[in-house]
Amino acid sequence: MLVFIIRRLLAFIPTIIAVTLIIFVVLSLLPGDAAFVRAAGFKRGVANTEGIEQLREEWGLNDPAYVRYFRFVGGLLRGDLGTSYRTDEVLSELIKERLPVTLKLAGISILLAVVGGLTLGYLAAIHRGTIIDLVCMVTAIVGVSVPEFWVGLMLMLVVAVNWGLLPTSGYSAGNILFLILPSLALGFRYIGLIARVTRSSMLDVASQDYVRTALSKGLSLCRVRGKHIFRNALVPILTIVGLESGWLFANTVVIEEVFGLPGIGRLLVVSILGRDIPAMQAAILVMVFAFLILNLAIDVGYGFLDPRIRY
Amino acid sequence: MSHKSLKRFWRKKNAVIGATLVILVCFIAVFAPLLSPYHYAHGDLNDALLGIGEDSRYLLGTDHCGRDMLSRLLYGARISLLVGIVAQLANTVIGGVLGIVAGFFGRVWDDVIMFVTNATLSIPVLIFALALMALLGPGLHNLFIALGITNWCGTCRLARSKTLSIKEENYVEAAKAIGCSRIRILSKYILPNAIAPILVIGTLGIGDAILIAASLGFLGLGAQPPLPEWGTMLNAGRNYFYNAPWLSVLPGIAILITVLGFNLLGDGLRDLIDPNTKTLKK
Repeated sequence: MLVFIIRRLLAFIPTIIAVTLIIFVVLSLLPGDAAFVRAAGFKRGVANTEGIEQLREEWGLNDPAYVRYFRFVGGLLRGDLGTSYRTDEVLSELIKERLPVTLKLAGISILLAVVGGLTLGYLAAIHRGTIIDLVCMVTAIVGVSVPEFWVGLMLMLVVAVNWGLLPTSGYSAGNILFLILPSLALGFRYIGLIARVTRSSMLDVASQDYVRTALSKGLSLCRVRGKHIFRNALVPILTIVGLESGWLFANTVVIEEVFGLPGIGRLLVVSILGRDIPAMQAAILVMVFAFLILNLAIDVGYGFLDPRIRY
Repeated sequence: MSHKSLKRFWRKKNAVIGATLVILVCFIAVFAPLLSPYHYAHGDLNDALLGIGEDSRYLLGTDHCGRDMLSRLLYGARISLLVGIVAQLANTVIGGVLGIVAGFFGRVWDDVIMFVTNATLSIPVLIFALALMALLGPGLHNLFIALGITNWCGTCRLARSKTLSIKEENYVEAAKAIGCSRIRILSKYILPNAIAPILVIGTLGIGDAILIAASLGFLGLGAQPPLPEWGTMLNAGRNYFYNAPWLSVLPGIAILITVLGFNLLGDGLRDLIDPNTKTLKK
């Protein structure tokens, strides 16, 4: 088991290196001189070009690409993500401030989605062919097809504006009420995905021989469902949870924009609009890292769930 | 398609509904100028922010510039469909070619292509597209590029695994034994058999592409106003959200219907191709 975990960790490393390379290459191709934008300041039409060379030296923009890349990676290994071009803040601090918000948002969304999706899929599978099945599956496919930001806006309109139950936007640390609507909006698609895969996975398992054996042994249907069908259906469900979490992390960008949450996603949008390359790099890396770590955890989780998957 | 599979298609309700929706949206996109009462950019500021059904001239109300919502929604179908289909076509071709090459030629090709694929898979599509739009600048033409080169990984993996399984089949072995050239094996045996699941993923991917295009438009990085892209319209509607919510509600419904159609169609196609296979449903 330990060897399995170590193997997964080792396979993790080349992927991370490749990802940093891809992100660096894409972002260093950005046109426009960041130093010029900063030096020119925000005065329209007036370019204060005195400090540009100095800024370029300071930010190391004159060095060749591979030097900049290794400097970037070196910084990463030390935990230093650089400084923002726009606001001169140290990025590691900025990320540390904003990460909890995004993590909480993603975490609650995943939790809601897993609970909701498993329930819907379970109900649909047990009552296969009935109206419950139809309702659950229609909800699921609508969930997959609907744009998250629209769900967010609709929730805002109905719950916050018309009913006045929850706050519309903004965030106050520690107050979970601000995260309920965003999590629902973000998790809606995820609920649909999980429900569909739960239903199909459970139906697949239910047709297996060992289930028939268990039933003929005299085990109650409830027991068979819980103990055999559901547990064995979990592996494909976990796969989908892992793979599609990428979309979830990515859409925190949009949801944070809709609900005005001060998280990493918002940082990414603002830094894109402000051509702040180090901040963009840092935000993208954080998201990719989160996605990779989640999948790593799921990979290891397979080992726990199914002893056959331990190589 | 054989007569039997066509009959099976019609029996599957979700495929039929999906196909109907897709055909409806395509019809609207093609005939938008004929169906819309006004041009999408034509606006009369005196008629701004009229509600749904308030004025008989504007069936679904007007936006903040006095433009008819119905017309803008109908024209918007053109943009979303164009972006979705073209971008997904590019992705499918790239992913399909890379996957078949990786599966067929194996060894070094396989290792290199799979490494790049896995690395790219780690970057969520929306984030990658966002970074590319930052690189290229906002605008519809850049949207095609950004969306067309970021979503090929799923197709690549699928094409590769399908190619690998076809390679093991008896008829491929027989073809090799009688001295068929590799090109011939590829075109006559591998490609026709691998194409079905690739097309299914392609159809489902159109829905995803439309969603991402709308998200980018919503963030202000996609199609720019006055183009009536549904995501961009939603974003513009946010400023008037409390007084005129229909500016944001209606484009969302349009996106929902379109993506739903493609997803149902893709589902139906998948059931058609592999009704008995215990594949993971997305």
